[in-house]
Amino acid sequence: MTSKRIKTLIVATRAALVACGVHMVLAATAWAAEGDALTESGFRPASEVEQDTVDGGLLLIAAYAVAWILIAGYVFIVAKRARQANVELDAVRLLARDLEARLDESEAAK
Amino acid sequence: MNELDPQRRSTLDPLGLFAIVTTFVLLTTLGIIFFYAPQERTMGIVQKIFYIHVPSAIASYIGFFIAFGGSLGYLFTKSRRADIWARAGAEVGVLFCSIVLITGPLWARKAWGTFWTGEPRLMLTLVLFLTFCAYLVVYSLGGRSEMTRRICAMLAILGVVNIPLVRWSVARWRGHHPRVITGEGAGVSSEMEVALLAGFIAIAMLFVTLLWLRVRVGATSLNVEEQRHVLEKLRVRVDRAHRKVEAS
Repeated sequence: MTSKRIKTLIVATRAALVACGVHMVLAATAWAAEGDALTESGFRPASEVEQDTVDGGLLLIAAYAVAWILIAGYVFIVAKRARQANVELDAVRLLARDLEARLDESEAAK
Repeated sequence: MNELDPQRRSTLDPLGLFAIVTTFVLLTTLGIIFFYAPQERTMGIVQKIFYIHVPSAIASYIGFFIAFGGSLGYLFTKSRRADIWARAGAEVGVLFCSIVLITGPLWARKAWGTFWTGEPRLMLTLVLFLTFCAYLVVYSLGGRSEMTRRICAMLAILGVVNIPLVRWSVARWRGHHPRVITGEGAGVSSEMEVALLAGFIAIAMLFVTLLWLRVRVGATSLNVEEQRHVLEKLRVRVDRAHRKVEAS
């Protein structure tokens, strides 16, 4: 087996492990939520039924806040990549100038 | 070598202008959602999640379809530009899909009394999200090889098959997920319709801004890679010429 194949295998294994991890976390969350719902089965008198005390406003704020945090985080990551690409572009430009100068030098020497 | 032109970067940037307009539209939309749209009769204020949840879902589908188109383009033409579009679509699609998967359960907690159930649309959306997460993980860990790009393209094509299933799952498997927007229009009041329309416009503009930005970054990186390759060859020639001159 070539080293390139081994590298690809390692990368694929890593990707599979990460995917498995994400799946397990999400499955565990879903399972936990499902478990809560199941324990609430059975009959109870209406007087004992607890009112839903979850504040809708809080959920609304949480939803919008998380959405904007995700968007801001993504913009930050892409902006970072853009800066990095621009730095690389400047490096290429410098290299081009250097080569032009050296080419001119060797042509003048001829 | 347009990207290497120093004047090009200092000119008025259309993407920047578009981003400013998008920010203004987003703020206006938030104003419409919170101050103009009325509270829903049974669910109350939490129903306002709807105005970001539904447009984000549509935006994620569009992102994944762009990833699908780009992947097909890459597989047939081997064009790196198509691959850049595919990756940008997948990234932006995953972003909006994660918004859907976070805002949905928060809304469900109030509407259904639980954050998550084994409802078909929810599970299929999760599968769709995980498929494209796998795409991004493989892409970032797999390096820049041809094989990685091909695997990712296949993942994007397979992932998109899920979208019609997500769309039809509510009718087909009789899930709890509400069907507010159908072929007969949106089942909401006129004020809610205005807020929903504003939400669609704002999210569509945000989607275009993010996709544009991501494609531009990808194109710049590709340009740098290509130019570096050309310059590397040129350097070898210059070195050779230099040595010849020195020898003579």
